[in-house]
Amino acid sequence: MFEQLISDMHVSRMLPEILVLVVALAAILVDIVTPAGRSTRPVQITSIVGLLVVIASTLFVHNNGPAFGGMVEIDSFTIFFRVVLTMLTIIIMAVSENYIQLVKIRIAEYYLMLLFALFGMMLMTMANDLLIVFLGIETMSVSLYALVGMSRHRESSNEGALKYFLLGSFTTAFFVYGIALLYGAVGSTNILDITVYFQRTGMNLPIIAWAGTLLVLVAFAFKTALVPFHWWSPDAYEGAPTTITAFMSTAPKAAAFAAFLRIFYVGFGEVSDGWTTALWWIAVLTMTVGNLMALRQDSIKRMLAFSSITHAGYLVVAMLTYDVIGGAAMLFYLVIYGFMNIGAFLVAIALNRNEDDDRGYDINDYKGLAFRKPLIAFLMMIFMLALAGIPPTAGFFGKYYIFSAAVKSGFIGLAVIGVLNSAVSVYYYLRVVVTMYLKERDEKTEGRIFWKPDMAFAVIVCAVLVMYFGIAPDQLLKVATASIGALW
Amino acid sequence: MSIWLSSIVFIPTLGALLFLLLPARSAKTLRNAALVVMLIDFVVSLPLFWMFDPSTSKFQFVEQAPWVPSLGINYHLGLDGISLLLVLLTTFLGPIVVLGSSAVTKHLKGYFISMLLLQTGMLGTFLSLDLFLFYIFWEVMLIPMYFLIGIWGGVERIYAAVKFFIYTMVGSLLMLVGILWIYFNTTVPGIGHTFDYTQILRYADFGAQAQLWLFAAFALAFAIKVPMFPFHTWLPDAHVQAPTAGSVILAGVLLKMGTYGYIRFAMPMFPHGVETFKPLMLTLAVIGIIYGAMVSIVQTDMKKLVAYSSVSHLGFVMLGLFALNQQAVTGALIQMVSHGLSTGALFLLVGVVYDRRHTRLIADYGGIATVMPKYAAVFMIVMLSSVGLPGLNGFVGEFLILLGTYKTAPVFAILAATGVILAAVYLLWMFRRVFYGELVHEENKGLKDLKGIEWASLLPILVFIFWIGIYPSTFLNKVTVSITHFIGQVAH
Repeated sequence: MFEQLISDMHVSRMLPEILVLVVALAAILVDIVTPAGRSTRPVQITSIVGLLVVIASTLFVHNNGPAFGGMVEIDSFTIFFRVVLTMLTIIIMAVSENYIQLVKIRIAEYYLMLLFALFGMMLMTMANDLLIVFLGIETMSVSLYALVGMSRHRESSNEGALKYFLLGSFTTAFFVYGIALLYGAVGSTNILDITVYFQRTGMNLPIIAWAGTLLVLVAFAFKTALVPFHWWSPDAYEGAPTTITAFMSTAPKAAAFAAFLRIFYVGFGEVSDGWTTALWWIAVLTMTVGNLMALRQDSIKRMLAFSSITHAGYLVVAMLTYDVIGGAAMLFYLVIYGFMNIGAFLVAIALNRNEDDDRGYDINDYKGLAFRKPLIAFLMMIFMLALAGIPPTAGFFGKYYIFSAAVKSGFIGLAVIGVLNSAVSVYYYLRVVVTMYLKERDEKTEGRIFWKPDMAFAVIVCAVLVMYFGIAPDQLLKVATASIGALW
Repeated sequence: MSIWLSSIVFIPTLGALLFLLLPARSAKTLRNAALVVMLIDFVVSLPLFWMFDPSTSKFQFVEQAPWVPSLGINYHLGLDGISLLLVLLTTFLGPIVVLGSSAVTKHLKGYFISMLLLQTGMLGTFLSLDLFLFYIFWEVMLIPMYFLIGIWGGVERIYAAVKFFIYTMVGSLLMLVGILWIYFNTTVPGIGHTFDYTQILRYADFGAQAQLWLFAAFALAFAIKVPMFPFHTWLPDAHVQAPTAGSVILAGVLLKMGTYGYIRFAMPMFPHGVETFKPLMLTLAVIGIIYGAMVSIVQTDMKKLVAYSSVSHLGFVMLGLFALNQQAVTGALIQMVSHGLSTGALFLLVGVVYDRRHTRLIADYGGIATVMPKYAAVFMIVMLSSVGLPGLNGFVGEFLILLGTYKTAPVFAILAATGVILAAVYLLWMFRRVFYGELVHEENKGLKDLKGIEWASLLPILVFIFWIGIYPSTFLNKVTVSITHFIGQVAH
């Protein structure tokens, strides 16, 4: 009977997730056998190799369907995010070793936390049950709280971690309360049951179901840093070690949006009229506020932190169309945004003068960079143009696809607000290009440049992908469309 | 399928890639290489003029291939009489701007790479028959131009470059929303939604209300580029700060992208929009003509004077386009080419003395006709062509525009005619102050007359200034059928 139970759970469908945990355990063992005080390079290599195996197992072992009695669902949507999230994590790990030596973190837990975060994120993307979403979010968040605070001797790191933790705990409370209310109304936390319930009620929901939906929405808005629930993000982003900032602004955001999509498209699809209206306002606020804040930053790191809020706003525009094209646009954008944003952050790391100094990321350090380090400046220009959405980069296609989804679904006003925001954002992205290419070199602001081979390799890979998907986006679009198809 | 048009568009890009291999140190190699690439491009494009069949309004030398099939985006190029002249103008000015760059010495490699990429962007804009492709070229061309102004420009170059970029960007993004709307509201039987220009003209059926909005979105993007009053404020900044070659491209070709946008896209696709906005557009055009001329009169800086005169001259083009009859539109097209030649030459000429004296203020000159007689003679010819003297190119366009406009909108024609008089005032007055009178400034006594390279860049333009002025039929014959077709589309 017990064997029957095990086989009904279809544990093998979660092979990649299990492998991630195995990798984490292996990494712990490697850390134990490595003499104390030595570099964490062995742990890094173990983790990366392990994650490559995870990607291979995702791509080559096809075993789709529900597992754990319908608590999770393995479909093309899950596979898409498994691959994307693992790839982003690998990139971050690949550049981390030199960086954490530099900022004196030097503990293997850095990699372990990344692996556990990855496990949590993967769980989020496949969750078919609100409780599993909750589990995934918590696994991810707890690892991230630790990662943000990892520069222990730096005040802003501690501050960011604490703020992130406190606000994250609030979010958790919102989320659990929302789940409880929905459970009270529906009698189940499985999103398929919720769908059936909403099909019966239509828009005439009892107040507790509305309240539950709203609380879940707010929780996701917190996790994806949407205005007005974004307050934690600039401080956490600034405080975190910069590799972690790059990570947080891409992978966990993608995972949170994945869960957001699945829960709302599948579970709450019947009441989409309600939440799309709320998201309309959130999208407008998020794009605009993020932009206005980013305009005023002199620190590249903070500028990128605020601008990542704006990009979340564009993603919400795609999401609220509640349409295959909108969903596909989101998936496409999450991928290319991952590459362009990580690329930009890595260049920022290369140029940072002093990690312990809050002015280590001053834009003035970029003066005349094009004539000092032409390659780095050129790569940074690609990322800036991509983030600004200028062809022929992938950033243009991503934005184009999002706004085309909005126009198709009749949200023309929103598309206009979106493109105008996009025009505003050109100003601050261009400012970096101006500083690199149009300003003269200034000896006073020229610090050391931290440009190691691993870093160079990762940045070039990101730049090549950003250009490639800008010129030949077709394949990725097809994959994104097929993946979102699983939710219908 | 031939790849003729693609070669014309992408030869400069290939050249730019080759530039990456060249050593940055040798200025001479870089200059010669850029010149050779531009010349090859011109030579490749030249036979278009003879091979083009002027008896049909259909697009010729068409190339079509799927690019992003899942979004219905095609790579689609084609040429009609209207784009023919503009493409040739662009490739013709290519080698000339390279020759006009002799004063540039800083980061020469990047300079020519920008210039070559810009050439690709402009040619692509004139040849695209897919709205999406058009938009890509339209945007891509912004980046090299931004660098040309921003790196190699004058003191206020950063301000000017950013202003240029943001202005254009705001306009074009709204156009992008319009393009998207068109896409989702055009259905080709058996194919689905499309960005294809020819298919949109055939199958699209936008309501009158929608056309108003679409026309407004497109017209704004193009009006900023033209630039029409009151969207012209970026132009003087950009012109004054840009290096000489940048100004020549800007005046010669870039501004034409705006007027071309009207004639190719905004007007044929949205005839109802044209009907409603026509009075407004005509009014703005006339205001532009007179305002641009008046502001030119008071300028103390020669380059700024020429820049404002562009606002006035392009006002004529817009007037001709919206007067909407055969003569006026033909005039507008000829005026587009003429303005490219004359104003381009004027910028080159201002650059000649600027390189010698590093000032463009009219007050710093005076009486230099005695030390630079050849220069004065060339300047006079170009200046008179810009004024619109019969026998030179400027006259043909302005005359046809005024004649055509008088038929449909006499009041506007009369008002616009004052612009011709004002042009004579500001140009002749400037000419007198710069070239005649006493040679008061000591520094000017040693000025050298035109050099070989300067002749090389100016002479070809002079040939066409006379050719168009004396025998415009060579060019008019190529465009007649296309223009008749255009008027049919807009006025049905």
